[in-house]
Amino acid sequence: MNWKLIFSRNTRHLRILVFLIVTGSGGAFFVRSQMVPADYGQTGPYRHAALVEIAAQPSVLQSDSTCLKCHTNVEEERSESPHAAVRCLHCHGNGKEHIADAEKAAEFPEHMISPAGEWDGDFRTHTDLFITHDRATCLSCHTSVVGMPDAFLSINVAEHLDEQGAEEINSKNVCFECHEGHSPGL
Amino acid sequence: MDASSFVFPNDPHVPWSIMIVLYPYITGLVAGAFVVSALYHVFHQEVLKPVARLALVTALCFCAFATLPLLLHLHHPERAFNIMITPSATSAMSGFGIIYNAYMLLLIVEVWLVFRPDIVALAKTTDGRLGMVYRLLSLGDREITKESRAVDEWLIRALAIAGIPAACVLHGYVGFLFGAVKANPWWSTALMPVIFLASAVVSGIAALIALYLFFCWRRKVSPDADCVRAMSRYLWVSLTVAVSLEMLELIHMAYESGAEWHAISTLLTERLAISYGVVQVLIGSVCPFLLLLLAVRPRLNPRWLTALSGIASVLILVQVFAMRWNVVVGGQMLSKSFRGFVEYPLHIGGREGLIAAAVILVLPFVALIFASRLLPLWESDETHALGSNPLQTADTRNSPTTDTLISVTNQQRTMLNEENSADPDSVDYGAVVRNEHV
Repeated sequence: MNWKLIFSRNTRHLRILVFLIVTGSGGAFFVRSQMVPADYGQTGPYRHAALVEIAAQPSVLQSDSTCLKCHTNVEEERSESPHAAVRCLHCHGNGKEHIADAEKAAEFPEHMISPAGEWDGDFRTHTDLFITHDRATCLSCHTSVVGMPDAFLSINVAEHLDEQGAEEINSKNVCFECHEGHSPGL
Repeated sequence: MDASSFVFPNDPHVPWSIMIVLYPYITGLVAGAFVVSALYHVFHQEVLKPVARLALVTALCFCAFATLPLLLHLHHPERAFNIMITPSATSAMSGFGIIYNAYMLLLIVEVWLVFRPDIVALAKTTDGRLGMVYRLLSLGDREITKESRAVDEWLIRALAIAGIPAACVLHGYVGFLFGAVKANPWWSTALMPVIFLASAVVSGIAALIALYLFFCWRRKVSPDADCVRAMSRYLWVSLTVAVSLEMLELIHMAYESGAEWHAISTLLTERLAISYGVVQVLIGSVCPFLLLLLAVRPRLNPRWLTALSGIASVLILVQVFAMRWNVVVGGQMLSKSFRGFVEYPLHIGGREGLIAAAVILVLPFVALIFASRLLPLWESDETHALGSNPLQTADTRNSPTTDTLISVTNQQRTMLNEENSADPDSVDYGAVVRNEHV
C-alpha cells in the first residue's frame, strides 16, 4: 500500500471514520469518568463506602448466640448431641421478626411475643421463625445416599420405620415419636 | 425446584437459564460466520465469494443481539454498564466488555468498508428517507476513486486478519468462562475454549449454508453449487474436529474415572439422555456427518447437494444448540455434591422463558432480512448494475448508463468501463447495486 495515500483526499472517508471513533471513545471515557464513584477501587474493585453501608444494614440471619440468649435450655439440651453442630436457623428459619419482638418485649414487658407457627414444609412461604416437626427437615440431612460418609447417620426411611415398628409411617411427625430435635439420642 | 438425592442446601437450583444457553450460541454463530468471510478476504477462497458479504452481515446482525440474552438474564440490566465502566483485570467476565466492544467496532468498520461503494452509489441514486439513511451511512464523503478503493481493500484485509484472532477470543473466552469453573467437573477443562470455538465455526458455517439456500430460494435463483459444496466440505471438516474434541474430552473423563465420573455418567445417560445422546450425538452429529459425506461428492446432482447440505446444516444448528444446552444447563443440574441432581424447569413465558428465547433467536434473522433490503448482499453478474460513478457530474449521472438499478450485461459493462477509463480517477468500480430485494 502507498502510505502517502493516508494523507491524500482519497482517504478522507477514513479520516472522518477515525474522527467519529475517537470522538465516540472520548465521549465514552468522559461518561465513564462521570459515572465511576470517586472512592471506587480504593480498597478493591468496589466502592469503599459500600463497606460502611453494608455494615450498617440490620442483620437478617441470626447467629445461635442471639437465640441462646433467651433459650438457655436448648444450649444445655444439645450440648452432648451431634446436633450441637447444627445451627438454629437450619430447622427454625431466621427468626428476624421473632427477635425484633423479643427485643421489644425486653423493653416493654407488656409486649407479647407472637408464637412461632408450625412449618408447612415450604421455605418459600414460611421464611421467618417456625417450629418444625416435619420429617422432611430431618431427612434433608439423614436420607441415605450413595457416597455419604459412614460416620454420618443416614437411613432409608421406609426400612428404618419398619425396623423400629412405627405405626403411623406416613405421619409427617413420625421422627419425633422417638427422637427429640435438640437431643435426638443418636 | 425439584431436587433428587443429596444436594447441598446452597445448590438447589439452576441460576443460568436458557438465556445463558443462547449467549454462547449466538456468539458462536458470529465467530463462525466471520471465519467464513475471512476465508474469502484473507485466504482468497474465491469459491466463497457468493456468501462473503452475507457472512459478514450475518456476523454483524448476530453480534448486535448477542448481549440481549445477558440483559434479560440480569435482574438489573442497567448494571451491565458497571462491567464496562469498571473492568477488573482479574475477571474473565469483565473481559467481555472490552472484547465485545472491540469486535463489534471491527465488524462495523469492515462491513462499512466492504459496502461503501454501494452505499455511495445508493446515496446518489436514492431519494427520500432511505436516501437520507444512505447519505448518513456514507459519512458525508461520496467520492470513490481507484486509490481510495485500494486503501479500503487493504484495510478490509487487515481487519479480516485482525478479526480472526478477535473472533477466536470472543468465543474462546465464553468457553474459558465455563472451563475456569473448577468446582464443576463437567465444565472444568482447558479444552473448553477450544471445544466452544470449534463448535462456533461449525454453527457459523451451517448457519451460512442454511441462510444462503434460504435467500436463494426467496430470490428464486439457483445456489452456486461450487460454493455450497466448498462450504459443505469446510463444515464436514470442522464438524469432525468439533465432535472429536467433544468426544475426546468425554472419553478422557471416562477413562480417568475420577471421583466425579459416576455423577457425570448418570447425568449423560439419565438426565440428558435425550438432549445429549439422541439430539446432540445421534441426530446432530452422526446424521450430518453422513449426509455431508454424501453431499461433498464431486459429481453429485446440485439438487441433491442443496438438499443434503441444507438438511445437514439445520441438523448441525440443532446440534450446536443442544451442545450449549447440555454444557450450560447440564453442568448446573449436576450438584456440587456429585451425589445429586437438580431440575431445570423451563418456563414458557416470562423474561427468561421459551417465548423470550425464541424472540431473541428470531431477531438477528429479522435484522438480516432488513439488512438485505438495505444493502446488496449478492454479487452476481445477473444482478450487477452500474452504480453511478462518484466523480461524475449530476448531468452525466442522469444518463441511461448510470440510471438507477439497471441490469447490464457483461459486454455493456466492459464497454462502459472502457469509456470511463479515459479518466483515471473516474473508473467505475462496479458499484454493485442490487436490482431485486429479498
